[in-house]
Amino acid sequence: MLVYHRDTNHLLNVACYSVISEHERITGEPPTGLFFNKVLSIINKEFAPSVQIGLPHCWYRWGDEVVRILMPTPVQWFHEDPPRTTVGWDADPPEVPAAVDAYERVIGRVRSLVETYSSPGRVENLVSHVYSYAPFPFQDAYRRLRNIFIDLRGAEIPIDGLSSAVITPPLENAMEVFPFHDFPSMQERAETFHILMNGLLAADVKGLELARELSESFWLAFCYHLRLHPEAHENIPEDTLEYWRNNLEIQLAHYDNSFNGIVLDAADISAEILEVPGVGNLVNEAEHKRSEDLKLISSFDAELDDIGKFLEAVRQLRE
Amino acid sequence: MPDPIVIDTNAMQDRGFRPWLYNYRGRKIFPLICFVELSVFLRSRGRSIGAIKGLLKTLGVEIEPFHMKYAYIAIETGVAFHDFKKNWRDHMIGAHAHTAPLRLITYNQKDFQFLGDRVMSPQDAMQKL
Repeated sequence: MLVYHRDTNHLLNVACYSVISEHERITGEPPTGLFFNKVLSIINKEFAPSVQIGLPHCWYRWGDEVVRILMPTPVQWFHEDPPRTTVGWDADPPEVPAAVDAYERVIGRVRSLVETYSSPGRVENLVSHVYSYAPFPFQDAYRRLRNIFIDLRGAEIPIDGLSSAVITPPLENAMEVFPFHDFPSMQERAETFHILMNGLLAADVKGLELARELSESFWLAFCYHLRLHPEAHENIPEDTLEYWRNNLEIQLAHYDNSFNGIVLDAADISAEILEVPGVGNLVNEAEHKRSEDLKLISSFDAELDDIGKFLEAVRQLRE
Repeated sequence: MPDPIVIDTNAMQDRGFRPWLYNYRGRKIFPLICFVELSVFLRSRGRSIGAIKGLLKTLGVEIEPFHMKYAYIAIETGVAFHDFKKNWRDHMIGAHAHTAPLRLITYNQKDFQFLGDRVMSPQDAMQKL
């Protein structure tokens, strides 16, 4: 049963508070959003089905993530140092019912997880632990590809064969386990993504930055679908799922535009890219789509050129 | 990926900005209030809602509702800057761009000072992003 209004001593409140307070006790600092998400994920997973903490979560861009707007209201997210986020508790500590086994076990397990994973250098182990139960093997395989791109950032040294040696193996491993059956609407996008990535990697260092951008764009497009899969979310109200579904069309339109933009940029940077099978077709299709889209946009020119005057008139009425 | 941007309605008046926006590959957010303004204007010029949404879809722009979290932000900035009566709309739009690395693209930078250096004109956006 979904709980929208939780009692202050609800088990989820106690679990959240425990993660935050234990991390502060041990390290002197609040947990990062990543740490908070992963510890709660493990607690939720390990204690189900006998103890349900009711965690509203989904598998998304950075693994198993809580859905913030559905979390207990005292949980606060701080973005003073983006992209790093920290998590705090803005209320009195929840009252823990005395001698209730579920509460004692959850608090104890939170303590042991925070002690284990809060030491420097252990967060990658925490992430790997969570990915070990991801619903689709593709997620962990793709994480390895993303990690390579993160490691290579800023290190675009012109070494021949760098891309194919380092990036091609994790890319191929990931695409080998792409869950086509579970995400049929991503099938064509996965295939064209794979073709273009091969093209960009053929250009080695020259194609690396575009390959990095493409890999993130594709991952995000996949994650928009992933979080809607029945095996990839829990304790999410139907209106939130409906909002995610309604946004899919525009998010995928954005991905398709970005993909075509990368295709056209790729065609400009290297002849080797165009020699990879399938890339030539992608370029032709991207050029045609861009031409049609820009025509549609310019068909609004006569009206939109005047919108400034309309807005100024509205503003003056307000004053 | 390029940083996400929030687009104010008045940015759409720039004929050079519109194709730039189409080509921009970061996330593009159009606050619901701006969607209403744009749609009232275009509807009064005879465009259908379907055509308006088709334009935004072609531009790759996401219409973002005004969530409760934005309300809390608009409340705080409205109180802090003592100009809510005149600029309530701007506080509500600015809330969508409150968290870095989001940036607001607008011609009306002077009324979004509460966003600090994360406000830019369409011309600056086209040069720098």
